[in-house]
Amino acid sequence: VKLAVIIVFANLYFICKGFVRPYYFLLGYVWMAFLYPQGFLDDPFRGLPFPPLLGILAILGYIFVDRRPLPRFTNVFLLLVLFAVWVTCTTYLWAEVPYAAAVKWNWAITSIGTSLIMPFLLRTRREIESTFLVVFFALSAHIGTAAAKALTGGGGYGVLATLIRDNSYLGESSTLATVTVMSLPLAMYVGLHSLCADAIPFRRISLMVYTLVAVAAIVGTSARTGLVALGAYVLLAVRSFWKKALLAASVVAIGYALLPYMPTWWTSRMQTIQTYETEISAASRLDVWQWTFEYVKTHPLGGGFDVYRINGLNPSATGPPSGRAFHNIYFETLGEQGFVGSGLYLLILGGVLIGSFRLAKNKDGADDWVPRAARTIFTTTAIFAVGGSFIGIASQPIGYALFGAYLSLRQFVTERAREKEQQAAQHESQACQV
Amino acid sequence: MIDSIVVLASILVLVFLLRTVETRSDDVDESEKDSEKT
Repeated sequence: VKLAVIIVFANLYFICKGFVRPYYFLLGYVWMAFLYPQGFLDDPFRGLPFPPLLGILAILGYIFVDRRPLPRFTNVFLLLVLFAVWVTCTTYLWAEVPYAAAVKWNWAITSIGTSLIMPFLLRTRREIESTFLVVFFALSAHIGTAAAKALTGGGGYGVLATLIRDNSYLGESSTLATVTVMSLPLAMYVGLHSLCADAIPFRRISLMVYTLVAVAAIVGTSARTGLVALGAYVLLAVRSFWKKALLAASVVAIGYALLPYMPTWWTSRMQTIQTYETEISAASRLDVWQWTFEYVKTHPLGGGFDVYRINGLNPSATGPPSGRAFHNIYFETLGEQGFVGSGLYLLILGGVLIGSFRLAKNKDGADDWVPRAARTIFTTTAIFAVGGSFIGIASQPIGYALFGAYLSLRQFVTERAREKEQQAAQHESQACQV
Repeated sequence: MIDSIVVLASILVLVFLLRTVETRSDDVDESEKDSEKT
């Protein structure tokens, strides 16, 4: 009940603020999507209709209160629209498991929709940085809880009591480990470069403490995906090759020195990375990926959401075998959406990575925060792409929020360029008059 | 108990920083307008 009251008040805060600044409705929606209180509240609180209410208010807020002109429809935006249409076709026209597909479509389409509405309402520095804050602090509630329980002796694979009570979304240890690594570049941006950075007391120490909390959460989940994602982050965080090599060597040396002090459940789990062929969890993933290849050869348009349910690769002691999930965003979209949907998804992911990388390189403008924000989006998306090789999170809001943040930043850059052109034209006309 | 404390702390810090971003960006907008006038 205490948690429910806290969350109701937070929602009321977003709603009240939204009537003055409509982007708060969307911030509230994104915050709810990442915190996902439906996963840890009891009835009747878990059924409170805040997410749909905030979503509708965000759309109405843009139309009647915000009223800024439509954003520029970039290639990534149009690809996302096409992808939304395609997943609707696979769900309602040829899904192998129609009921399960419709259930997943229900929440997957809201994830895609969120990324599409973000460039409408979140297009200034204040709005984009507020989105970073909202995503970061919603994630930090999950990460902080996991770290606190891991540090008090509650860690272990499938044992850690996460904020979400069942084994779904951020309650799943590999997903939690990946988003924990994804939160690190966000923390760095918020703590070092955002408008509120100066307001954070002892910010360098605070960042160091947060990094340690994140590492404790990753160790607590005991998920191998976390270690792989962390490796990707270490390589991406530093730009110079020699610094990369030095950092990687330091991490290996510190890890080697700390290994004797690590809990045995963690070291034994990590050792299975070397013996992945004989380890059931990893070996069954390889079976699913092989099955997906064979499936799309005969079903090139995909089998709709949750098509894995028909693969029969999960043996059961009591009944017929059930389906083994994809555990990989690329095979997930390939099996579910076929070659067309999978191609669209890859183009979106690639477009965000290339686009944010280009924005990060472009340093000729007056807005020095843009390359830094773009770098943050690039690093976080790259960690998502690496971590996603071991978890099926393609339809969850995690990736789509990053795509939306990229579209918002792109919109800001376009508007700035337009403003500069107008100013230059004005100056020219004034000079001609003189 | 831990869950409630962590969620409450994350919300309080979030609200504080959202307000800070709002105030600071208003300040930046004001100073940009002033510099354009001059």
